[in-house]
Amino acid sequence: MTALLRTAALALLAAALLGGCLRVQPYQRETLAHPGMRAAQWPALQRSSQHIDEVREGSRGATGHAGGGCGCN
Amino acid sequence: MQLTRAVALAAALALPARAWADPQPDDGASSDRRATASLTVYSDDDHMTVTSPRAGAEARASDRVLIDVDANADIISGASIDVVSEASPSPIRETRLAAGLGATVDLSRTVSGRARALVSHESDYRSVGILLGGAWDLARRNTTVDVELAARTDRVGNSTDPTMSEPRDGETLTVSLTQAMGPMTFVDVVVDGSRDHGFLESAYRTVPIYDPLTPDTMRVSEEVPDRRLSLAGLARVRRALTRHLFVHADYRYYADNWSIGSHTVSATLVAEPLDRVRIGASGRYYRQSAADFYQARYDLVDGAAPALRTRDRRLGRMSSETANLTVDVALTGASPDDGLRLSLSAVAIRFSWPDFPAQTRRNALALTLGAVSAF
Repeated sequence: MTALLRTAALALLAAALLGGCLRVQPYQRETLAHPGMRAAQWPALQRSSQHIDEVREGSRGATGHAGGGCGCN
Repeated sequence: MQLTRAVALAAALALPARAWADPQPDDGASSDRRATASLTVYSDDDHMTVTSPRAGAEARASDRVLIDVDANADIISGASIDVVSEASPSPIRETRLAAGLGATVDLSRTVSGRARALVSHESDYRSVGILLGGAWDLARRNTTVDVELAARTDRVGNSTDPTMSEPRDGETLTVSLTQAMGPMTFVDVVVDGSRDHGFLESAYRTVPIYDPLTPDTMRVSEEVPDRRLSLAGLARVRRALTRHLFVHADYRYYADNWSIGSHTVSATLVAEPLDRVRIGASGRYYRQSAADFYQARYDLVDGAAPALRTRDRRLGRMSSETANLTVDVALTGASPDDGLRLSLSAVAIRFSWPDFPAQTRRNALALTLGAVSAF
């Protein structure tokens, strides 16, 4: 558990640091804003599938996602 | 107490008067109102059928505030060995009703907060939950950090014992980070920590205890630890292969203080073969180890039943394979987020429990028909 927590914290830190190096300009974001790039493609359908997994399996969690950061708005 | 604190925090976050008093220009969201409806039918070869209708709606209360509401039900009928004791082979029928009400507030162009209340009710189980969250766009919207805290308090009952009402509570903290890695790629990292405590057993499940010296067997109630701490982490890559073909791949690891560890890998391919048609195909593999107190068979130890014992197959070794196909068609609307869309999804799942003697495999199929209308 402690090792996993340390690994997770490192992964979050590494991803955050990468964010400082990578800049996608607004005019490059057409593909990132496409519905096919959304983490939740069909939210209602995926909720049903996730519900089945949670009922049948012994573990859960970490299925969520952040908003996507595409800057489409 | 946990819930009281969570409610107070929710009120503080969900009612920032500043959001109404100082509206910002519309960011250009395509639709102000959206309604969703779906019907899922799950059936497996363990004689379980679950029909789950779901409906939801969301609407903008102002330029900065989005309100959403949803309701769903699980109508369960079946005769699974999970729920039918050897002494009573009659099938069960049960209905679970759940509803949620939430609000998302744009606090600025790059920060939003959200709060949501959830209730669930069935004849022998009640649950009330609250969820608070916030999202921050950083680095010129190349990075999104999302933090969410969920708390719930449940009451576990037993339909054969009206006096039974045991507490079961839980809290979950989720931190997500999404990073644009270029004009074609997102990477997501999600870390999730949970604490469950209280009556974590099943109110119905009993465990056979064998006497190794005689053919006698006695049945006793299930006993598991009253506290469970878990941590899960997910890494996901979303990449556009072409303008109309996308791939998502993720890996999740889970560990808890009951010694259960699990690995999940999944991949989804999303394609747009026609202007108004989107197809998704995905595969998922899941494998977990057993809780340290799980045994396929429990024997008397010095004439007494083991202190911890369970017949919950979910706490033993298991694996599952899932295949999913979804077809989504836009019937009206000029953009993907407008008009009426219909979708049909089929999910096939095979579960395996090598250490659960009563049933080592189960095959399931779930069909979902969904509709989304934005206007």
